Amino acid sequence: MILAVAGGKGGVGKSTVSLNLAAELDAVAVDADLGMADLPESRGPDLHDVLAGRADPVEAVHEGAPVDLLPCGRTLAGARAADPAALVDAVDAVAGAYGTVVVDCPAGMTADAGLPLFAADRCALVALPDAFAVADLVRTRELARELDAGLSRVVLNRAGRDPPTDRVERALGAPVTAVPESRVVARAQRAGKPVSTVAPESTAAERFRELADAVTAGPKAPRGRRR
Amino acid sequence: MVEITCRTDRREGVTLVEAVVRNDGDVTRRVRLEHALGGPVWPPRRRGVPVDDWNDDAVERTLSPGERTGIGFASPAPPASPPVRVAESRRVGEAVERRGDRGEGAAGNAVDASEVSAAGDAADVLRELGDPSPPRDAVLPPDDLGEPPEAAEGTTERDAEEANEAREEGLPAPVVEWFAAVEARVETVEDCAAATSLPEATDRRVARRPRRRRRR
Repeated sequence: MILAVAGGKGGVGKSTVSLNLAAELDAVAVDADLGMADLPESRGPDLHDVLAGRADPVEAVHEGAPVDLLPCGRTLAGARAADPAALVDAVDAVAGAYGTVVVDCPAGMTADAGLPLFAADRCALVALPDAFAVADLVRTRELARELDAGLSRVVLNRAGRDPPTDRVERALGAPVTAVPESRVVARAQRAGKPVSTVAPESTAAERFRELADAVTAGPKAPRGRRR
Repeated sequence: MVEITCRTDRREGVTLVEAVVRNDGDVTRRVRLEHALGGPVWPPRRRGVPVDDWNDDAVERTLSPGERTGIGFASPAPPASPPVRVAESRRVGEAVERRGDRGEGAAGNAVDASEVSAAGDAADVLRELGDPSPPRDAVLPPDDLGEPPEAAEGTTERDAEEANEAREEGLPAPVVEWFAAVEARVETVEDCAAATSLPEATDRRVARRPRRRRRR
């Protein structure tokens, strides 16, 4: 299964949701934000190398950390040398070797956000519970629909005491998981760790577990339908 | 039958070709048009990616009875007559005709949902949404990045010197000589810096010289 974690805006917590979901699903997290990567860095080949044809996607996966990770380079030169279209085959290859892949998408509506959705079977959309959440989510859902990544879950991240779950659910037509604002999540993310390894009993960890169960439920999407 | 009308225009070393193909027959035909200029073809591009009905040096279109379609491309090769030829023309059924419609419909510039949904491969996504790569001007050439990578990784001075020498290979001889002279003067000054007496300074220079010569 390839799951894309998308959302129209930057800073809403796509990388946090990606890392935690990958931990819960025992999946490989792929940092597909070629220009502004957020998931932890590591030594050795990264996604820029893979997309420039310098490294094999499966060999570029770093195991051993709390989450298996295909990291992304941080340089503009690397982003420029990378062929964004090659992401689709790279993600497919990793999914072939590891089974489940969570792709952390960049913000925006351009091809770098579109290609992971094109590669994915399904997607989860992330937004903050603010006044713009619904509009952002609807736009991203349209893009995901057109690229054949069905929406399996909406995540309202850093939700306060009373998140507008019902309103978003009605507008998007998809179930919503609210992840509470929590210092432990932010601290774990800064350390490049999923919150379940730091505070397994926390509400946030519990919500990520629910989210993982929810996105894996339902009929398995057919794979390789376009190639 | 299929009728083809071409026009070429040579500007600043580039041949621009326009062709209109018309299906005069009473059956739907799939035509494959090849260029006949004897050089590379530069097909039209959308957001940096060749449009999807171009395949290598040929373009395929499906034409209903009486329908006509236009193609255009550029090439550095000199004009030839004719610049485009019909390589293949065959009757097709309705099913194929519908499949061919998408390529022709992709003429506009607006990103519209139906086009993205028809994306067949990653190149289609790039065509519709645009290449996200940072522009070339945003990327500094390696010379402007300051420290050479060898030095940044904490390698020895000797490696850095070898890299310098390798870089000098591409320079004109007088420049290399001038660099060598400057280098020799810098070394002399460095060698003498710690010396407090004349014999000490001369000894150091004598001791160091053979090593430099051996390395050259």
